[in-house]
Amino acid sequence: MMMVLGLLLLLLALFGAPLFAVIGASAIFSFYMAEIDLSVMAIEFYRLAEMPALVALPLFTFAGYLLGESQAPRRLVLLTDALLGWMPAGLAIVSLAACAFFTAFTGASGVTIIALGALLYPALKQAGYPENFNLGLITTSGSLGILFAPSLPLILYGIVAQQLNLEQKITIDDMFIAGILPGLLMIVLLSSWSLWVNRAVRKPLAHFSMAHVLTAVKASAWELPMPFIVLGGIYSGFFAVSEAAAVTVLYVFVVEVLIYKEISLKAVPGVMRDSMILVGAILIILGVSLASTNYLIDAEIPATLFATIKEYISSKLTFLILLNIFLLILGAMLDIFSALVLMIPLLLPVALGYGIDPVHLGIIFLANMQLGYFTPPVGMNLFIASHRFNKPVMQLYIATLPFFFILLFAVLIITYWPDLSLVLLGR
Amino acid sequence: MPGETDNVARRLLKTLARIEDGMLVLLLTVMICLAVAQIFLRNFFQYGITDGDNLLRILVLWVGLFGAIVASRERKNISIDVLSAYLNVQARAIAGVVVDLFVVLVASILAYHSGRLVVDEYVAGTLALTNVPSWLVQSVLPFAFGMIALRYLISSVMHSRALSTGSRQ
Repeated sequence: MMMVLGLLLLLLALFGAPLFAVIGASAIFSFYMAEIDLSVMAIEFYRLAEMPALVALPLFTFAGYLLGESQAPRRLVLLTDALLGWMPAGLAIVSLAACAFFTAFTGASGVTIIALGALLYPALKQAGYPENFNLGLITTSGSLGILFAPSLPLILYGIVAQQLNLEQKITIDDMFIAGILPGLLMIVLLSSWSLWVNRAVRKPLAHFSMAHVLTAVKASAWELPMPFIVLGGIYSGFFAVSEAAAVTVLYVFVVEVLIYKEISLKAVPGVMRDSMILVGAILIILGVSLASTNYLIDAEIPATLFATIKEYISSKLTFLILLNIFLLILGAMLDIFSALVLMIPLLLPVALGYGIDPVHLGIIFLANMQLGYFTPPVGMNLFIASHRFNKPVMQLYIATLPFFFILLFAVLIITYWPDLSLVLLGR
Repeated sequence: MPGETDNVARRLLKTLARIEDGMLVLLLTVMICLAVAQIFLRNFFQYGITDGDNLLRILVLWVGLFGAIVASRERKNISIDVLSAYLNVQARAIAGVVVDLFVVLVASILAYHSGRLVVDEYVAGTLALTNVPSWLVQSVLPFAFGMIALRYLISSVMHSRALSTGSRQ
């Protein structure tokens, strides 16, 4: 009976049923079979209103959408170019740095490819980089940066993990610190690859020009303090994450709407609405999965799962290898937010059983999901890039392949070298 | 005349959509103002708005649910949907109707049981904020799930209409 229903739900999901309904249906059915009053569904869903950190989600999302609508991407590229453009493969490295920064602040919803890709793709082409390299670079960069604060997936992982009442406490701030070195590793590896691939492109190097830097700094004078205020505030402990989110919204609104006037006041409600559609789509899944998680824990399913896996896999190393493979497949099928709220309640207790730090697991999970953004056949960013640059998806599969293997290498380092994630936390 | 009722229905839905959008914008605006005010008051005047943090958390729930209503209206709920691309037009419409009715069923169950919760809270008379009863705060749950069910019900009608006109051709 359970099996048949599970298959039926899977089929419905594959034919496009919204995931909240699929997760909701499985929770409803499980509680019904366990003869638990179904008002538990509403009670659990209502817990969305009891999570202080969750306030950050709508606020950061809105701020990210505002930034994407303004000319901030253009100024960001100008500034990064003035600072890094003189290096060999300079523009490629500029693209990586700018995209990572932008994605961290806008939350990896595909907006990076649309906002920054439109600027960088023609520029890269003009600088003489090969087409497939450019396509691969931009598509890959669309999810680069989710390991940096204040990205939404990092926040959501912290929130979901806190719901599980683990013995080892974990905060969102921990996640923000843990992501720094793994995120940098990815950028360094991709930059090295860009250098190597384009070693034949012998362009005379541009000179580093202080005058250029000053012009670029002046152009983005109002935006420059923002990352320092937000990141400085979070890392120094001055702001809670939700407060940092509120400050970011205020700052972005004042700068882009009132000072630069690049978004008219009339256009703001539309941006609000669009951004809150994404928030609603994420929160309704989070809400129903609170109920299904409650059932899982009640029925001791994570513990049973761990006992079963433990029978076949005794070593932590083998578990990690299988985890990587599993997450790669998962990332290609599910978007990062649904994957987080669905799988973390199951995976985290099992991983703890193997002695994996919950913070480390979060970084492994997100790094894997980052790959999923452009893993064929269904990686979301492949389609966004295909649509944006008018190229067949097949070409994007091929163009992203080398980048995929480089980031896969990074994911493996991140997975088997826990200290990379944990050393800054002193755990 | 069916055309007449169609027109009225369409106009009603349009108004409804405008109200939903308006609520979404209003809720987010209140949330931003409250969150910013809290920070200023706390840091410069060592003063906190009574219930401010609780109200913010409740606003998250409301914004999320109104966002979900609009997402349902615009078919922007997160889904996987890899198989329907391989279907022909007619089979796709059938799959559409089945999926829609499935969502109607789930959302209705959620609406019904959250409605029961609201009634229980009303009888119990618990407070969510100093002057605001819990049932009022929670009433967004049955409302939102009801609206989502309605949207997918409408969508199922559209899909089955597409099916009947498709088979006539």
